[in-house]
Amino acid sequence: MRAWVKPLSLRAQAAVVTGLLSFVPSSVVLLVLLVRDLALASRLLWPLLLWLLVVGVLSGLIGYLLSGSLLSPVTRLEGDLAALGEGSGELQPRLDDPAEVSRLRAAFLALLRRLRREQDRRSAFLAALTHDLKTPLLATRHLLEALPTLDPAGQQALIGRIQSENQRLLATVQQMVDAHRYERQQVQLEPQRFALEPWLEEFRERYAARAAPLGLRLEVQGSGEVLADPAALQRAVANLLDNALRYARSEVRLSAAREGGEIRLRVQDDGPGLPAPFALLSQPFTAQPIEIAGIRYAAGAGGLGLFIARSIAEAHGGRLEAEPGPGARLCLALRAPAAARR
Amino acid sequence: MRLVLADDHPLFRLGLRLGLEARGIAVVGEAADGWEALRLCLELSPDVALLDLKMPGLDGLAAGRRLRSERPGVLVVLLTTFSEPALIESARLAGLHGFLPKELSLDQLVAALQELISNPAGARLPAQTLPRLSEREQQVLALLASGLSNKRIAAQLGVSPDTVKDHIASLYAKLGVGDRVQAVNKARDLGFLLDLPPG
Repeated sequence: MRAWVKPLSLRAQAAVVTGLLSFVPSSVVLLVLLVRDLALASRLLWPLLLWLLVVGVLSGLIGYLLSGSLLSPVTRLEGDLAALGEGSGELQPRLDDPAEVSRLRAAFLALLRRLRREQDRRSAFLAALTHDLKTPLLATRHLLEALPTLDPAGQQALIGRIQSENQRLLATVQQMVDAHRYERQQVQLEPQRFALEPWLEEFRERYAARAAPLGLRLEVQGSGEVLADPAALQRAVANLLDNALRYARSEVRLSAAREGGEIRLRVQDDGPGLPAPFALLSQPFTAQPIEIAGIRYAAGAGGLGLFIARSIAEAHGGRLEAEPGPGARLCLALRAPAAARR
Repeated sequence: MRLVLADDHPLFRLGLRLGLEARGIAVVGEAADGWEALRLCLELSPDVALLDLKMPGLDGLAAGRRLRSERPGVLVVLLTTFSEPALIESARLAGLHGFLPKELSLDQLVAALQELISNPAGARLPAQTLPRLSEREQQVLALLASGLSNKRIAAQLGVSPDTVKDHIASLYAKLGVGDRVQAVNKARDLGFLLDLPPG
């Protein structure tokens, strides 16, 4: 069945089309002759048909040969791409390509560049991540080795620390998984309408305990209602708060307010501000570079949190943006729900 | 053996300290960044400074370099998860004594430290065979790695595309590769990563 459906090669199609086209003028002549002089026509019928056939075959042959040279730039491109696929050679722009093939080649080149950039970004990220994960894993190895030598109280304390480090590692890995899911847009949201006040209160309770030992003041305020997936929104704001806690000098603020048709959730800190443009930071797998001995290394999983928060905002039809100001000010804006139901 | 330990990961420090102390090494100071490590070493003059590479503020290499000039008697050893030849070469040029992988078991680490301390004169990092790239070649390499075409590289550097072609040919020869993907990969493996600052 399949063989029937498969189209002819372009060269065969060109041969058939030119062959068929060549019938047109001779057929017209034959037709005119048939109408004008039937006797002459019937006498000449067989030589004329033979003539028609010969011209058709010759034209088809010429079409086949000509299309071969017409298609040669495409064949060359095909060869270049095949060589590239085998890992040798390179796709270069060619001056002697006709316009159509030149555009095709340019499109391939653009695609290749994008893939390479993506691949580079990923391998830099992966390298950085490996470094990020290795040290805590090695730490745990050393600690487990030391464990039996400690007294029971020391053992208990150490086990607690190993457990919380383990938790942190798991959270890092989970962030990677989430970032991957959001990147592939495989996330199901279950939006519901809920009041922000108790929701914010939960944040206050959870984060006050973390801010205090760091010597940071946490301010939480706001009210109103929002239509969103509570768990996802919590995740997004938690990521923003985690960053803020990491960089704040003395204070972190979380606020919610209705502005125009939007609910705006803001997280602010008084730290040094974002280390790079927000657009760059909120890309998946953009690892913030650090410099060692004049060589810049990507610094790992640090950037995933912002990307996840941005993706959650966008999955809700909202957005995440950086606002100007001292320190870092990130604003997650969602469309405000219609007037509250009574 | 008196040792100052610097790493920005608190649990790694703790694990290492417990392990080293159990093997009779006195950890006399602990630092979470390069500046603190430098201050402690100047103050305590330990036998060995065991420094992580990637630390906030001052990295281990920069801290080690300063320490070498201010306390030549202290043995400076980097303990790191990085192993790119360009970094080892930088450490060697800075006069550091050791470049050890964090993956070593505690027994292996202690053995390596003892060997270094028993023969400080012999403690020299091996020279790395690295291609010597000119400033221009490093710039071209960085732009190549960011996926630019020859024409765009030429425009960025303000030179002709032919000049860029020459630089790329020279890069291929020095790195021993045949195309730009291989060139970028090889450069990364050697530790000439993207975004090389000029010089």
